[in-house]
Amino acid sequence: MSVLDVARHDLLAVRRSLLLKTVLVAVGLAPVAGIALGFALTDEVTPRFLLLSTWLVVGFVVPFVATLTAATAIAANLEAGRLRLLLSGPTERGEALLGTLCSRLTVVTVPLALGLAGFAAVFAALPQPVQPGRLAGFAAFTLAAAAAYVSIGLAVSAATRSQTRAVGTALGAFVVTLFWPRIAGILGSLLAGDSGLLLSATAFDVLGRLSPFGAYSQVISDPGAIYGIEVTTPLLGAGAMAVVLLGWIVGPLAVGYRRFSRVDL
Amino acid sequence: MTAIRTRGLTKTFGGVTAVDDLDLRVESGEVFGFLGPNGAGKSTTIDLLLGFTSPTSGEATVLGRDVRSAGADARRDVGVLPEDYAVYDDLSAREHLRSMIRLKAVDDDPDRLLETVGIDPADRDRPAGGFSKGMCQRLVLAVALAGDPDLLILDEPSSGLDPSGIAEIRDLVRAEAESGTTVFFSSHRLPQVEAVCDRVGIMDDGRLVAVDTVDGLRERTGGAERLRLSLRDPPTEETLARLGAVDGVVDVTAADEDVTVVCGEPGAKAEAVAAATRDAAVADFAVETTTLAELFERFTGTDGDDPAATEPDTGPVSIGRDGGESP
Repeated sequence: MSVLDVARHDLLAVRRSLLLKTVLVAVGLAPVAGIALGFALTDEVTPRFLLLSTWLVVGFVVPFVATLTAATAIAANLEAGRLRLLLSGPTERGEALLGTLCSRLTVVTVPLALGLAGFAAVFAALPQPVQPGRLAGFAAFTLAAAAAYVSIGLAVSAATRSQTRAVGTALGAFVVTLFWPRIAGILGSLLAGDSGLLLSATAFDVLGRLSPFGAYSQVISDPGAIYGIEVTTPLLGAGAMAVVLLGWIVGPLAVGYRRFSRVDL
Repeated sequence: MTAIRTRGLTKTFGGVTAVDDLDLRVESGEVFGFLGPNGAGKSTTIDLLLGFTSPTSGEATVLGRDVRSAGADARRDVGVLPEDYAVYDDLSAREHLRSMIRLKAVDDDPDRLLETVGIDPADRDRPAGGFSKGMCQRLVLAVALAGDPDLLILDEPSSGLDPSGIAEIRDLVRAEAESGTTVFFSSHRLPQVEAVCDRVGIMDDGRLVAVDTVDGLRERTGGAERLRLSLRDPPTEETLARLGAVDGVVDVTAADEDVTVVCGEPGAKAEAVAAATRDAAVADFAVETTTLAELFERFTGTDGDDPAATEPDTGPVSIGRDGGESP
């Protein structure tokens, strides 16, 4: 119960903030903005192209906003002294962390879900049909990616004493995850020329999909498109990518809690 | 029952020992004042009791619960006014109370609490980000009082308050103590501590250098009271010798017509006056008690860094409850 009370408390505290308004607008409009981009880029719009254009916008905006939304949560309250007030009662640190996670997930995923509903409505109105499963998969993986970046941001926030450092570190992590598929690809190309190394190209493909953005893009982007590669092994399939995203939701939180439970307030 | 108990409690930061082997016992129902100069380890001790920081060694229990193993449960029946806190800028005072009451899982009325700490109805629905330091203190004190806790831990509760606010806090502490609540508070305001505390503990350089009632501390430092005699003429050697021979007199000094007789026992004062009147004309006399500020100075070798330590506790100052407090 206390986790939900903390979530409610955090939502109450941020509900009038500029942060919340910015998140609502940016995340809520991102799917529709992606569709608008698709229409702006070509006269011969196909559902596949619209999915790609939406991925381009949503794939950048949602992780970016989710990371920032969570990165300010714990560190800012610790730095200001608000955590001393919150934790002066019978609230465990774990409850505070999970409650804040629930709150920030709500802040990011509710407007995102609404935006995705608008996105689905546009697809429903298109003359060319799209498989409902494809849209549902797009929505589910987008929400999962958002949750992963909220978790990363919150973990950084919980492990950092200053808001500025938390935001800087979280943005650094965001950039690395964004370019990780490319970095892994470059690494694979470089090492492929090294006769001593016998790792297959597939191994580097999988390595590149171990970042949340890589996993998300592998599922959403078409094979041959940016960051999308042909599924030649189950390790590159949607199931494996779902596991990767789940790992990014749970893993950072565990690390963040470990640090947060020991920090001096 | 023991409200607070520490055994060998120690906290070091790097090479600095903030709290050194602290053994402390605060009984239920008492008002305990925790004194010491800045950096003495008072706030670190309170942070250890609240689980805000972990001890390097030793143990501490609050209301019988170990602060390390019981975690947040140790704070279940405790009201806390911590140091270095901040309020939520966008929440009103009423919203703070509603939310904190929910988090404490208690049943209380936000308006009753805000009334108790003196936050005007007109201020209860405006964002706390615009509150002065004094109003924030009142607000967080209201949070601490929510649910009628068995133990109040107040870290510098009068910080940021004007004299009338300090007097209100003092009355509040008295009222809580009368209702059976244990109160443990740190303060630089020695007159306030002296006015409300059953016992005091004095910290210095991380160590607890004294724990006793204020009267007990006076006795331990010798010279519990000073009798000041104003004579018509300078005293003779014989007069001074007679005063020094009175049972219970610790010391006798003279400056012109003024004689100071330090009495270790209460009964010595009357005998000293009688002894003086045998061969000298006493124009006036007064009895001075050793103040807590003087005791503090003797135990710590400092009068504290805060000028407020020696300021009169309160006076007939009438400043607006909220507007007059320092921001």
